[in-house]
Amino acid sequence: MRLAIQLFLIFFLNNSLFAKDTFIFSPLPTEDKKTLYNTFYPMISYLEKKLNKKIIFEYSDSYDEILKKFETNKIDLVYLGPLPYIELSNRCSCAIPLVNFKNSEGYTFYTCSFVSFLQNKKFDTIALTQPLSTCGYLAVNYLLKNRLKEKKYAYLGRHDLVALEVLKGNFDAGGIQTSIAKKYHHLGLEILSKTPDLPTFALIANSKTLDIDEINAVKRALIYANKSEIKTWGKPISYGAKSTKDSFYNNLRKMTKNLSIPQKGNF
Amino acid sequence: MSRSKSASFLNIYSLILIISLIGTILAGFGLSRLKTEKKNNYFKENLTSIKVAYQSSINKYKFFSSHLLEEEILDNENLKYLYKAIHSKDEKKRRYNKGIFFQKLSPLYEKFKSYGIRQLHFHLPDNRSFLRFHKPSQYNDDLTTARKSVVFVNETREPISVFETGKVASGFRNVFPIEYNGINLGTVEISVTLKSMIESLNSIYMHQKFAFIFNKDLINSKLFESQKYLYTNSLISNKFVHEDSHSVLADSPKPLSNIQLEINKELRSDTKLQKALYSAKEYSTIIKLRNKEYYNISFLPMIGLQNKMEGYLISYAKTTNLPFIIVIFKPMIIILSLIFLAITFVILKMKRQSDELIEQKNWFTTITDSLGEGLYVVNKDALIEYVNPKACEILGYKKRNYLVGLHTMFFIFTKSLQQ
Repeated sequence: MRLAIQLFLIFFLNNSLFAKDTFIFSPLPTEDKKTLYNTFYPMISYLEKKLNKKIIFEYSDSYDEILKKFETNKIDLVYLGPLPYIELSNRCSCAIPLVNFKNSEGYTFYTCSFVSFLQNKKFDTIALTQPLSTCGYLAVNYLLKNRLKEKKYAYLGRHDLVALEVLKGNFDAGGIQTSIAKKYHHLGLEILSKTPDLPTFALIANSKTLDIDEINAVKRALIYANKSEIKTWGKPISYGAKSTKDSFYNNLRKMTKNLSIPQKGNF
Repeated sequence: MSRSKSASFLNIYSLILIISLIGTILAGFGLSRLKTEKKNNYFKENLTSIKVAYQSSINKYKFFSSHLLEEEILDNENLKYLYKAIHSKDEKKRRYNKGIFFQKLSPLYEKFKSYGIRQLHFHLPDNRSFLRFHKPSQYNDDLTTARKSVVFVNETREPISVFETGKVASGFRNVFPIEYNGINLGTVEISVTLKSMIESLNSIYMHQKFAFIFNKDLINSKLFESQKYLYTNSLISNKFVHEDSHSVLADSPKPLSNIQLEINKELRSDTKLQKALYSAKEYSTIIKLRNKEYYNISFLPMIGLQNKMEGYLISYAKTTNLPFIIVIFKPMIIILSLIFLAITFVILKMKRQSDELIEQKNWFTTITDSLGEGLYVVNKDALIEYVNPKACEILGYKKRNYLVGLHTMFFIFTKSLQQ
């Protein structure tokens, strides 16, 4: 009987015996699939070699779909902005923030911008990314001093789509990450205002699907990656990573506390 | 006498065997020549038809691109915005005009995509990228090394249509010079996806499958590092790669079918093909799959500017009109070999029987020659067939040759004379 209990403990409580051969990684759909794949492919290859695991790139069009997949254990690692992380942590205590990715100045914070085409004077129609995007309703409403509900707004999905739709003249203005807005500066996209610093995008691990050793191994691999290695990664993650923790998001939690973000556009 | 007969028999058998062997070899050689001739003609016809289809697809998109450019893209107003976007002194004005130019052409680009156009790309006179409609966020990079077609058109001011690998992806490039009131505004490129080209080829040959492989060394020297994930080694040769073999991107061709993969594995061990690929020559072959179906595989080299081999167009065609000689060649060779074996068998059997008869005859001669009594053998016409030495002696003849063939009446006559 004692032996049976010991075997039970060994086989069912020691997670390391159930170490996964394959991890599923998914990024937020901030840009098109091709661009995201280009961005994350070198990091995925590096982690595969470092962890001796196969990592599958999973793409989803919707922020909410990604969070649902995470909650239902279909994703092991996810690359999230601050607002989606807060939403995810509200839904599941299994979301463990590992690292924030540094920006070009080496900081682990970023900003969202309210953008428009050069010489545009009216801001009646606003293009937003997704309800759960930090630079979406939350940031634009903040930058418009809580007057977004008075405007016509629509969710387009990705940051680059918002930039392109504004440039094409289909919307008067939009809200996107400042780093993405800068890519379209040469086409006349102007940054009208910026949010205060927000925690940068983070890599979140799923503690329901990964054991503590695997989580720590991923975290260590990212923090201590060689500079020459990191340089080959896509631009948004090519400046290295810094350890993060849940309390870094407390200020943003306060910002979202009494805010009800509409799940659909109003035109 | 019997030995010489045996020797002549042997000679006849050897002669028949040699003649039948030479006949079999000549028939096999003739069949082989006929097969090679028919096969080469078949390959030539197929390669020619693929070349025609390939060229007509290139021409289709060349004329289509030219039409789009003249009729829809470069009207005077758009050219004016482009001119201002490049030449305005004020940076804000340049950005504004570039934005307006982008705004004006974006709906057209969306329409072009439905026609199979992948890239609408404007380049400056110094070969820098000015505006990629397929990737508007990426610009100002120097294309001098990677995109010789752009350099060619900027230098010669002549349009060009050519297949070319690139920094982002490969494509069939149609590059045209642009001018506004005599001022050089650089070039514009309208590129067609591999998928569109395959679709165009399929519209001509519905039942064939097509694929592209690219020169690995050449493509690796051009690609953005971040794009290298799109290329995987070809099963046919390590010197070639497939673009987006898993169809990650929407505008990539479908992944290779299981039959294509099985064929590619077979082709890897084709040394003639490997030589042809190495020297950028066209090639065609026939493969019989495990399901007994024949496939004709043709390789057409795609030669880019500066005569560099950029890759190959591969056609996989299930054969329906395979020359009869190719199908029956192996059975015919087997039948010929069987006939030769049968002749050899019959001759060997006849020789064995003949040897046995000779042996029996020799045995009989040895016995009768040693008899103490005279013996002769006559045939039905009473002619002497055989006579032993004792009989010769009795009759007073030294050589039996004198008696063989004589009538028995001769004995009686000789006897009466002796008496």
